[in-house]
Amino acid sequence: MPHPDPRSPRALTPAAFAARFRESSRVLWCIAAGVLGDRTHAEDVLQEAALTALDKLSTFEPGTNFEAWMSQFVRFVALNHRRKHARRARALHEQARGMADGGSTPPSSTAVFDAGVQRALDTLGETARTCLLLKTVVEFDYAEISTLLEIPPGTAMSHVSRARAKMRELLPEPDAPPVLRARRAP
Amino acid sequence: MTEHDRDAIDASLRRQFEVPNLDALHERIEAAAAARPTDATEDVETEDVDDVIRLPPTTDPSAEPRSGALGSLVWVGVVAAAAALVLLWARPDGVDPGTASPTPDSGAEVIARAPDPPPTSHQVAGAQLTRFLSTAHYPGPDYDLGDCQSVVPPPPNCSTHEGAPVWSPQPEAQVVWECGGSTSLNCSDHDLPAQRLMVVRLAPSGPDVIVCIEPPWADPKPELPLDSGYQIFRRTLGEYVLYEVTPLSEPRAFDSLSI
Repeated sequence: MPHPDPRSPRALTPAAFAARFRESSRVLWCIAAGVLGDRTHAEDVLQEAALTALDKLSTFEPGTNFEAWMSQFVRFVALNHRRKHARRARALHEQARGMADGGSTPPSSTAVFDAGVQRALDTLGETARTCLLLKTVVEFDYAEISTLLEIPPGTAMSHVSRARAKMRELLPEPDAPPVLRARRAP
Repeated sequence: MTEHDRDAIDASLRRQFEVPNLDALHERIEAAAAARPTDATEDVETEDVDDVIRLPPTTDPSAEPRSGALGSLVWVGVVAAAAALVLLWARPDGVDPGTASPTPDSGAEVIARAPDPPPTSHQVAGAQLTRFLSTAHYPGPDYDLGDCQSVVPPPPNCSTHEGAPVWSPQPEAQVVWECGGSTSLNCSDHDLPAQRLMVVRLAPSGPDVIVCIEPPWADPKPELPLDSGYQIFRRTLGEYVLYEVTPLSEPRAFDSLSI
């Protein structure tokens, strides 16, 4: 259950919702991107979630955490979006990978590493990915992640730790010369 | 895993997932919130998007509800329309979008399952948008339909020296959804071929109209079937071409746009 939020003593009006949404949108965007696995449609998802939530204001319990309540809509819409667009996204992903691998201009080591991070991120589950982004991008602590995603803090910590470890296994050596990266490849 | 490894991964994630500027989104949400009654205690009934896109579009514009609910739901309508348009524009079989049927083949099954409910406002808005786009003829896919700033070098006729049309908010007409333009939403991500598209709610009780803003090189020159119940109005603004799709006999949103 969402934790009490002392900033919400009364029922949420549409105007108050808009104000709270503005305050929370950065975190909510990150949740959308985490569930989706990329940033391309995160804003779309956020909009749809916000409009859905606007129509469901009475489900917000005064005194509870707005971001936690809102994150439920974001995750629901994002999961729906991911399910509906998984096929198309895979095609685009393969296309992007082909461009990265087969371009005439050698990509920079940072670009190669980032592409590897994106691929490794795709192998994680939605919750692990979201925990990791909340931890790294918006620098939430585990208690805050726990509240937002309604999971125990220890689980959030475990998700982040395992996610990093799994990604590390899949990645080339950061900043390593190309020859070393080639040797690491299976 | 070393601290160096962890830092490298975190730095990459921060680079790739830097939160974009969401000001335009905030404004749209505020506009949508402003349309809701402040003392509303009842939730607005919305349908699952899956159900919306499976239902056939209405052909009777007189069935369109002329209530405030229309405005409050049009956003969902656009989402539904965008989802429905995936079926129209994905064209895995190479069907030309200009000749594709606007009704998915699976419609018959759905009609049998849910024939009775009158069309909801967002179905009407979705149908309106679908009809418009299914009759529009855009340049072929060999020509990049990205906005001028994304094409390097810009196409020769991709002129923006006069500036882009700007929407001036007015009490009688509010943009409730938009893609393209200064938003960070790409219309093509919604399978909408328009360069810039707005859904505008006309106060006080609707209806909702669709405004497309196109550079001249992407002028789709759309036509609607005579029995569609909607009108298309065309106007030029600087070098841009504006279209307003409306069930009314006159355009009402054009005047809010200026350069």
